[in-house]
Order: sequence, then C-alpha cells, then structure tokens
Amino acid sequence: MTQYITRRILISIPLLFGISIITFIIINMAPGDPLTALLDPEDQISLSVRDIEAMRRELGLDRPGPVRYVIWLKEAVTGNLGFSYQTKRPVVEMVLDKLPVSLSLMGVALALASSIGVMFGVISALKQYSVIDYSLSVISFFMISIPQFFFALSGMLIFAVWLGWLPVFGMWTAGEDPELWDLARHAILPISALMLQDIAVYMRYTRASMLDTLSAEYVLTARAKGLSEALVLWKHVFRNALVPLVTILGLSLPALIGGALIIETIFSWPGVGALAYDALRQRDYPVQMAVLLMGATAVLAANLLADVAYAWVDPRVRHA
Amino acid sequence: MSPETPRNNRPPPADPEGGAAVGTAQRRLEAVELLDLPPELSPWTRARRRFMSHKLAVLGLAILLNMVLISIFADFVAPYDPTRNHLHKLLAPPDSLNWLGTDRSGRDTFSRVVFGSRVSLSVGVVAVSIYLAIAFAIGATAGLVGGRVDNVLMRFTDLVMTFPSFILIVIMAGILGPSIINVMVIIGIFGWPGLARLIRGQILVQRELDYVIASQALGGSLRHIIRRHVLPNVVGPVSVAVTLGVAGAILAEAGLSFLGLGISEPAASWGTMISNARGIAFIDAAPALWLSPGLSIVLAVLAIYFVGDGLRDAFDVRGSGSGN
Repeated sequence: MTQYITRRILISIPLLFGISIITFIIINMAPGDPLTALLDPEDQISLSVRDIEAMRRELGLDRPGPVRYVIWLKEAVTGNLGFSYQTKRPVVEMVLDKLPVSLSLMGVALALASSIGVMFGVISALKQYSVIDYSLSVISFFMISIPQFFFALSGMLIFAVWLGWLPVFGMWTAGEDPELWDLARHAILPISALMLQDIAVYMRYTRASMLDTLSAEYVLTARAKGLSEALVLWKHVFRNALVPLVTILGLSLPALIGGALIIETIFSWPGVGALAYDALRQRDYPVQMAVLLMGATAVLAANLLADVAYAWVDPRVRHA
Repeated sequence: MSPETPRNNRPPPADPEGGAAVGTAQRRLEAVELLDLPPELSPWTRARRRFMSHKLAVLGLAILLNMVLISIFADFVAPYDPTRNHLHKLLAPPDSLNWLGTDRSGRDTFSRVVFGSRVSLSVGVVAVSIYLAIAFAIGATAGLVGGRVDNVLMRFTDLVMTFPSFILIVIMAGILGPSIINVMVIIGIFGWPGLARLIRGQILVQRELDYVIASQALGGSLRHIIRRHVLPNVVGPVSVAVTLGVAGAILAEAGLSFLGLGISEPAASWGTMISNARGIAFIDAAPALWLSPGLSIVLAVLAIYFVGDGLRDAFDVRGSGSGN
C-alpha cells in the first residue's frame, strides 16, 4: 500500500510542474508587466524608473522565458503568486479568505449529488427496462442539457420572485443575526443548480456499474447457493458496484469548479467563484492565475486521493 | 440485441468498388446459405436500423435537422433583422407582430432566437472539429507509435485534463477578447483530452484483435490495416463522443456568453441574450426575453444528447464516451 501511494505521488510531481508551466505561459499571454504584479505596491511608489530597471535585471525579467519561469516558480513555491491589481493584496491570501465559503457550497452539493445520484442509479439498475428506469434516464438527459445558469435563473423566478419562499441572492439576510436556517435557505437554490449535472453523472455511472456487477458470475453463484436477494445485493453487488464510483470524485471536480464560478456569480455567493468573476471583469490577471493554479492543483489532489482510496478498498488495483 | 454479434467486424459482403472482391463475396454468400444463417447485413445497415428503432434518437435527429435548417435559412425564417432597433417599442410584451416581444433596445426577440441558433450550432461544430483534429493527431500517434512517444503524449493529456476546463476557457477568452472565432478556437483547444484518450484506447484494443493480427500475418500493410480494419471500428465510439462534444461546446459557449466573455453585442447569441435579460427587474418583467433563448439551448442540447444515445446503441458502444 505504502509502495502504491509513493508511486502515485511520484507520478503527480511532474504533473504539478506541468500545471505551473501552463499557468506561467498563460500569465505571459496576458497584457501587463509581470514586475508590477509581483512587487508589493507599497514599495513600487517609492521606486524610480532606474530602480525598477535594475530590479528587472536583478529579478531576471530581461532574461528568456525558461529562466523567468524558474524565478517565478521559486516565488510561487514560497506562496507568493503576486498581488491583485485591484485590491493590492497578496492573491493567495484573497483566495484563501474566500475558500471556506466555496468549499462548503461545493462540498454539500457534491455530497448530496453523489448520494441522490447513486440512489437513483441503483433503483434504475434493479428495475432495468421498467418505466422507472426509462423515466429516470430521460430525466437525467434533461439534467445534463439544462445550462446551470438557466436553471438558476428559472429557480430564482419561480421560488424567489413568484412564490417568495426563498431569498433571491446573497448568503445571509442583511441586518439579521447569522442563523443556520437563514444560511440554509440562501443555499438551497445555488446548491440545487450546482448539483444538477452531477446527479445525472452519478446516476448513469452507478447504473452501468450495477448492471455490470449484477451479471457477474459470482452473483449467479451467490444466488445459486440460496442466499436471499437482500444478502446477495448487500454483500456481493453493492460492494463491488459502488466502490469504483470513488474515482468519479476526481473527474467531477473540474466541472464543479467551473459551475461554482457561474453559480456564485448569479447568487452573489461570496466565494472563490465570485472572486474569479470579478477578477475577469476587472482584468485582474494575478487573481485569475491564482484561481487557475489552485483549481488545477485541487483536481490533481482529488484524483490522487480518489485513486488511493480506491486502492485501499480494492487490493486488485494496487497490485496491478 | 441480435444474435449475430460475433460477425460484427467483417467487411460488407457486397463491395461496390473493386471487382476483385466479387469472387470472395460470392463464396461467402454460398457459405451463408449453406449454414442457413440470416442474410448478412453490412455493419452500416445494421447500425442504421438500430438507430432508427431508438425513438428518442429519431426525435432528437428530427429536432436537430430542423434547427440546422432554421440556422441556415435564418434570413428567411426570422421576420425582422435581429440587430435592428425598433425604438418606439422597447421591452414590449409578446404580441402578433413580435411573437416573443422585444428587448430593451427594441430588437425582436424571436428573430434573435432564430439567429442565435446559427451561433450556437456553428460554435459547436467548429470547436469540435478543431478538437477532433487535435485529438486524432495525439490519440492516433500515441496508439500507433506506442512506447515513449505514447507515454509523453498521454502524460500531456493527463496534464490538460487536470485543469478545470471552464476556468481555463473563461480566462483565455478574457485575455483574447470576445469574438465568435476566439470562442470556437478556445473551446477547441482545450476540449480534446478525453477524445484523444478514447481514440488511443480504441487503437490499442484494435491492435490486439484476432482479425487485425490475421491481416498482419497475411501481409497486410499498416496503411491497409488502419483503413480497412481499425478506422471503421473506431468510428462508432468516436462519433458518440463527438456528438456529446458538440453539446458540451454549445453549453460552454452559452456559459461564456452569459458571463459576457463570449459573443458580444449586437450579434445574437442565446447566452448573451440571457445575460442581457438578467437583473431582477427583468427576470419577471419580461420572462420571454430569457426563457426563449434558454429553452432553445435546452432543446438543442437535449436533441444532440438523444442522437448521441442513439449512436451509442447503433454502434454498440459501451462506457460513457469522452467523459467531458
């Protein structure tokens, strides 16, 4: 197991470098001077043009791309991804400030989406070719065809504007004491919009995986030796069918991050997504790059975690 | 499912081109009669029959064909110029002249929805064509050459897959500026990894199959094997993935335009129309303004997914395609 984890981590290191290289290339495509992005704005004011030229040479900004990349990477490793053009604050700090708010939204959405999706996927597979199976499959097609922002706006119109059951946007009601119930009411629409596609994805994967397992020979054996259907399902089918679904965790994260950008913007949910949208509108490239770099790193980490979890449950994986 | 699956991979018996094949075709025909098997259908005929028996797929295809026709003949379908401002009639509700009302610049919503189909469909098709080309170059090279080249190309594919693609697309669109060409190219450049993996995987599977090895043993050239055996069998899974890719590209364009980074005014794009109608006053003041382009996106994407599902059945493709 330790050997497997070590090997998996070693494979991830070059990918981490790759992520930083691609991010660096995109930074350099953006208009603007990298020096002003890297320097603390307090210092910039007191510096003359000649000082800045000297600093540019000293930092190697007059040198070719690969050399500059190494210099940038050294800063990035120590946690300096530059300063925001707008707020003049370190971008890492800005993202980390907003992270808990986004993570809670995405975490709840992912947890709900996977449990609902797996549940309906199991039902669909157990009742294969029934009316329920057929309806669920058509519903799942709708779920992946509706743009999240359109679903969000429709939800807003129906439940917030027409029915008045839910707040239109924000995270808390202004001027009231923060209560969990208030937060939950604000979160219902964004979470529903965010998890819509994931429910369908989990449902389809679960159904396929269940059908695969149900037709396996060891399931036939279990039935043949007279086990009750409940026991067959619990001990033989579910275990083998649902474990591989762990790997979807890493696969569904990129779409979830992209979805958070749109959903947080629509509902004024003060997370990393909304921060990224503001950065896009204000052409605040350092913030955009930090979001991209940290997003890709998160996906890499999630994939690593999912693989390790899978190998931990299923010994066949780590010995392959 | 028909019981004739083991014979899936034979070439069609009646080869219209090349007279040399006639002899073998005749002999095979005799063998079929001798064994009293049902007459052999070409894989394409069987695929077409299976597709046509998938009701939702046929419905999806009908909707899609209609949309394609509407987008091609948008100038004749739309009652008004989609960019013309009718200044005496701003934000009008639907009536007999403007079937879906007008927007805040007095432009006819119905005409804009009609022209929006042109943007969505062309972005979908062009973006996916771009990434199909990239995916094919990378996937086929990796699968056919193998070894170190394969390793490097696949690690690169993993790398691109690690990025949350929508964030990447949005940032690139912000840097390059909003235009339809940029949207097509950006979605195309970042969409290929799943498809490249699929193509490589298919080629690796095909390489090991008995009939390919047999063809090699009989002295078939690489070119012959690729054209005659590998390509026809890769077409199924790739066509499914490409179809789903077009739907994904349309959704990406809509999201991009909704954020104001895709197609810019005055051109009509469904995403841009919804974006313009946003803001709480508009949401219930003029629902037709954003419901109509929104439902158009849903209808287009749904139709494409149905067609994709039909193709999956038709070519008997397992798994979930490109994973995007």
